Amino acid sequence: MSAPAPAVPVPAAGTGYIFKTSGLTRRFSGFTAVNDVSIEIPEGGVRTIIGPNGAGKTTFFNLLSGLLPPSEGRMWFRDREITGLPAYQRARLGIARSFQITNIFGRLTVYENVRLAVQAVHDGKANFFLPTARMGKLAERTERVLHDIGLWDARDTRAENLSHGDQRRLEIGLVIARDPPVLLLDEPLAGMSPTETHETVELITRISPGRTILLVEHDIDVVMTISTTITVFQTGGVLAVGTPTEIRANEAVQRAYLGEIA
Amino acid sequence: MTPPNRARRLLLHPLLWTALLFLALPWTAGSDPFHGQWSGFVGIATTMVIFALFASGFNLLFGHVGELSFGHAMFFTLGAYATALYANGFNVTVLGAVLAHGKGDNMLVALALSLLLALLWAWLLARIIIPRSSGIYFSMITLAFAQIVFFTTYRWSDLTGGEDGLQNVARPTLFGADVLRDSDHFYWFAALCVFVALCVLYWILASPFGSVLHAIRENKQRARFLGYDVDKYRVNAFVLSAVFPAIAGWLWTYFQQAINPDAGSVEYSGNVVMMSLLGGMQTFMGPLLGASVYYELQNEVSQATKYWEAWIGVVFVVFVLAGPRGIMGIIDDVRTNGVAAILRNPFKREEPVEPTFDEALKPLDESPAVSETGVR
Repeated sequence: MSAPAPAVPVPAAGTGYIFKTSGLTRRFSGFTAVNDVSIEIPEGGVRTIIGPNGAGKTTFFNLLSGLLPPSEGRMWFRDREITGLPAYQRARLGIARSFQITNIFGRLTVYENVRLAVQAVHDGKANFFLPTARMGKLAERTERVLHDIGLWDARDTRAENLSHGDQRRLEIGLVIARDPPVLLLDEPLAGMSPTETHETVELITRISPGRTILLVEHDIDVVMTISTTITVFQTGGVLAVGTPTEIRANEAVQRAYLGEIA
Repeated sequence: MTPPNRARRLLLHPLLWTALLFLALPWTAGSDPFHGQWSGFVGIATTMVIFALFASGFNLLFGHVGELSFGHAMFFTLGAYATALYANGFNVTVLGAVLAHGKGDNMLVALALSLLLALLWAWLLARIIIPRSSGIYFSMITLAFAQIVFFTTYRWSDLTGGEDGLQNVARPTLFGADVLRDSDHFYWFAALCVFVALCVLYWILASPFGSVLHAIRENKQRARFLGYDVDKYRVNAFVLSAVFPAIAGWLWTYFQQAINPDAGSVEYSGNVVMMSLLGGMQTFMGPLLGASVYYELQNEVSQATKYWEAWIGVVFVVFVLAGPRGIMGIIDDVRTNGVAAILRNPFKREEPVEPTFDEALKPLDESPAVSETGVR
């Protein structure tokens, strides 16, 4: 079963990159979190961003997803400029993100959480009362997503009563519900037990074909295993880009970042 | 889906309980229709149903979107004055132009005017307020706008009759028959109108639109990042929540056969907040029960003491401390935990893991099995 047709046409692939930024900068009263970043992130694969705390990884995510406006610079999603676009419109284009701190509808059931994410695809086209016929399709897709994230059995539980790992998984479910071409996952493994980490990595691997996944993650073993390329951020700028092997061999990166851990 | 489940859902359906409540209300407040003590007290029941609608409309915004308006009496009073002005006629000069209208006796025209006035005003306010504020600022701005309406009705004596308001509004005829002059008849008329309006409100809340409102209440940011235009939903919800108080105002004028500026006062705006909290703000039935209990209390306590408002305040405080989810929350607790557990420790309870009484508000899509046999 395929996802429902999106209400807003998603820019077609073909530019070769999923995101392009030009001179992207974000300052917070005197502190520059992201400093003049001009990069192209290639289409497809798992594109991981690593870097020490305060390197600007999350701010970069916030700029791409529209949570924060940039102080300077521009950005493109495929061939479409998205610099001034509000967050909800970026979401409709197919830019889906999860947050570092779990961000779900706590007092609604797991089922309602996912159904709302599925329903959002039709928002703008039928924003008021959907025809009853469509409820069946929404239900089908919702059921599918719940099975994908392994929370079907917990569907009638209030989301706030799930374990931390299940809440993180539910958030991934919200993110993949509209079958978006690009996912921004901000530390999806934070605070997880080894078992939960294992399951979630498996989930991310399973949903990655046909999409681009932008990942901010601290678990260096996982990063080295699942990444197609790694972009290393340091003090608001890009220090290096390369395959896991290249990054592991990069002296500047070792000095700046890996050296602290390995 | 198994038949017993379906029967249970039907049995717990809020609209069924609303209908039962409205059938039972004339028997409250010391009235006893079986022994001829009906007409003197049925007025309290009429007040209850009208305020049930007013509070329910207000609660669309308060309980379901999570925005506290401190000025919803403005829509009530707009509906009420539109009705009174239409019924009594008016003749004023505005900026040199004479605006005049004779008496009107078509209650549907009065209803249309009430709705139109409230809709226009609500839409204008929503466009100004919603993109700029939420939380406490939203409450303050709605209060300020309500004061504008209040002082207009208070000061524009040529049109509104000032402090005295508009008197001697004739009850409308029903298909040409003068039956609504009778208090009993008027109660059933009002109860029916309110019930129909509440069915519409229920439909709104149970629709996909309603569930997006709940999503916005729970987590605006998440709703936005799913692709929902949150402010558009808030504007629509604001306008919708103005409609129901305006209908209540329309009924109120015909019921009282008079209207004065009090209908738009801060006190009225505050009363519906209290009713919603008392009944349970995140439920459909809550404001209805809240309005009924509020006037029942007022009736009983005011016979015993002239300080009845203070005692209602005490009840209110106890509710906020011991039962923050209101009467509906208590009903839920009793169903999940049993009476004994609650009496043992009235101030601390676990919330149920799964939604209980409210589940009837999510009729179609709780699980696919349910949606296949949806009632709608």
